[in-house]
Amino acid sequence: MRFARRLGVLPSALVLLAAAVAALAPGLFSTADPVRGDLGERLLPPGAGHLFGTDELGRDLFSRVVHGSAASLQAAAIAVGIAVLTGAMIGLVAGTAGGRLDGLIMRGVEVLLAVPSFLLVLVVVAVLGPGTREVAVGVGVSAAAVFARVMRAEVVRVRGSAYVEAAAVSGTGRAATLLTHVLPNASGPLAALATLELGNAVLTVASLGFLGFGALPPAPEWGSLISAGRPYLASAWWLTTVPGLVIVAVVLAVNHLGHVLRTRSERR
Amino acid sequence: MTPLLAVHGLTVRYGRDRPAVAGADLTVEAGQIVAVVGESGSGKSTLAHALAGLLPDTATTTGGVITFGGERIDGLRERGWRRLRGRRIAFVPQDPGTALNPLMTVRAQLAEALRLAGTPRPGRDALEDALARVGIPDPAEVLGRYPHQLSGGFRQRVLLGMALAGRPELLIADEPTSALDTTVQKTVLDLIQQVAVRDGTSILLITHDLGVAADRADRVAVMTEGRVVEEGPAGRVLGRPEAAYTRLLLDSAPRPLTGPAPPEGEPLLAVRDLRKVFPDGKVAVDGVSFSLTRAGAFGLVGASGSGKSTVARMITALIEPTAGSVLLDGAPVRAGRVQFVTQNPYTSLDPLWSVGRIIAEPLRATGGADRRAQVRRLLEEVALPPEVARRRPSALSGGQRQRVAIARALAPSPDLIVLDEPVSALDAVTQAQILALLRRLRDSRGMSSLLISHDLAVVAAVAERLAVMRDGRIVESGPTADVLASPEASFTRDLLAAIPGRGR
Repeated sequence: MRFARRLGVLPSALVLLAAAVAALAPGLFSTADPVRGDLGERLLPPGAGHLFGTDELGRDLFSRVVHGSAASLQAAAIAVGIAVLTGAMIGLVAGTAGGRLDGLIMRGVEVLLAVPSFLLVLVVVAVLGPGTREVAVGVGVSAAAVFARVMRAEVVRVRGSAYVEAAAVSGTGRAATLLTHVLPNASGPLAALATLELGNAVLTVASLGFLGFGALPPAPEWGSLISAGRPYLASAWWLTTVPGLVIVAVVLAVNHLGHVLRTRSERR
Repeated sequence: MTPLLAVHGLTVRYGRDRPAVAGADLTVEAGQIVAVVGESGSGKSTLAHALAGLLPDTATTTGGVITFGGERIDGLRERGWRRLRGRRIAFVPQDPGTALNPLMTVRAQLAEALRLAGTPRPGRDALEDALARVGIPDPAEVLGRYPHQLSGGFRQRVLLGMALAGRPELLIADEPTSALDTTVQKTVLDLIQQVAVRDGTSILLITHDLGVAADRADRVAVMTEGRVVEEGPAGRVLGRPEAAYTRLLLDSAPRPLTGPAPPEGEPLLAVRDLRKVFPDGKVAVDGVSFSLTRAGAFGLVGASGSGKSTVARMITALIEPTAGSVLLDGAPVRAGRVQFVTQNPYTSLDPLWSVGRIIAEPLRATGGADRRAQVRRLLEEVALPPEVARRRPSALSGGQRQRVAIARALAPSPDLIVLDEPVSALDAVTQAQILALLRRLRDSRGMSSLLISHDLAVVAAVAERLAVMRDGRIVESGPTADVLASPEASFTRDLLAAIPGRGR
């Protein structure tokens, strides 16, 4: 079991590294234009000239997947950033304030949790309008509730610990205690949760792209690539399958690495 | 005659670590009480678990022979152990707080134990008899209760009753009283001793407390680093120890201060009619008054729940008193003038901070130049090397952590240090070192301290005056030597009688 887990670390890291490089410098992987195609080379199956084949306008699919990773991964990363920051802030306030304010905030968080998260994202995106950044905000808001709950529980635990009491006796102020003792000690589980949420976010962003809320055409994005390939499912399988496999690989890699990091931090 | 239990060269290791038990030898004759004494980490608990077939899966026995009643039992499989355990070998675990199932009544758990010990359908009489045998005055009443409705001492008696249900030949008791107050500890130990005499049960008593061993055992085995370094009749081992480690343990037992108490000097802290009622209506502290002189050490002794920790928290201004006053030099306590050292050094230091930063924390509030030099000086005062400043608390032992906590308390040069059970989480040897440190700090820098403990012996080793608390009130106070020599309150006499090893 442990061996199998270690075996997965290297491929996962490679997948993630490749995705990150593709997002930052797509030109390193593919020189083909992701937007302009050659109509003479329409719907070619994967082969030597076109690694992932071409689409109905003769555009190189490999290039489109590579160039699409920026939109997909950026949206996912921003979403997790928003979720962690707002969630941590809400949890910190609730856990520190206690009493009625705590109750009020946490009931609000529970309402957010009670609404199916994908529905919530759709509502936010419907209000803000389509676009990569809008999708990121929607996904981030819907995921913040979980972070808020975890953060509050950790803050309550740390606040009752003897070293926080010792800080009070030492004359350290409340705000300084919160920033130097409570926040660092409470944020461990949050980091673990964030890695888990990153995989989720990649998936949700792709789902929204599939539904047409993500990057606007002709810009490539993983979810919208699958959506665009759907009419050709019978004749050109690669248009849906290859982007789908890329999403699966990235989500699995993120989740696996997150899991490894988490178990390692727990063992410490 | 073959002994009931014989262990030769037993070696047990966890994973690839240094063996926890490294070639230990031990014999227990029928009807004897044998005490295994050692620090935490000496391997005594692993030895106890190996003898009851209760080692966790992570442990492997790599050598040695265990014979019980003439048969080898070291190679037994789980099925074989089940035939022995409960019927011929019984085990009493360390913490009575977690060893009983909280969802089952005493009746259900005791019936299970009796059934496994060979009574198919234990009747009411059998159940009540099992409890009566461990000195429970009202068995019918206790049978219907759940564990949380019983005190720690009663829970330990129920566990003992379950262990003895099968009339075993050998009872292994792993630190049976270390989670209990000294007075409760005495009654439970009395009971175990009584069982040995009455039923002829052999007892293997695992303890870190030499005093307990001295009072109760026929033979004593001293363990350190997985080995039995000395074994023999209790009187000989404790009276004329041969191993250096045994002598170290003996020297570590807390001794009361000698010499007359210094005259009462200028009062520093005055506590008047202190009272604390918690929101749930419980009166934790009810009219406590005492005063502490400058450069003096005052002790507050009492059982858990006596209100002594609540007094400490009011003096350090962590909680507000309901009534009464705490005056330092005639004025209300200002922030930083009273520092606090708590019981558990494993939780009182922020795990993410370096030791240097921890010690400097109170300095940040008061200011002061060149913190690094101050930290170095404070580390020196508590006898820690300067490089400790860079380490995290997790890299330190319990005793070192408590030294760090004391250094942090000393950092702002407070007028008074309140120490709440500062040594009760520590081993005997470490405990003696910390108590010596407290005495030295008082001499070297005139530190005034309020020492709070459930253990009269610990308080007497540092404080020249003390007060005994019970149910939120002070029942007796005075110079330590006088209280020890002629206790007035009956509760103080109970506390004194309960200190293990006083017969030595």
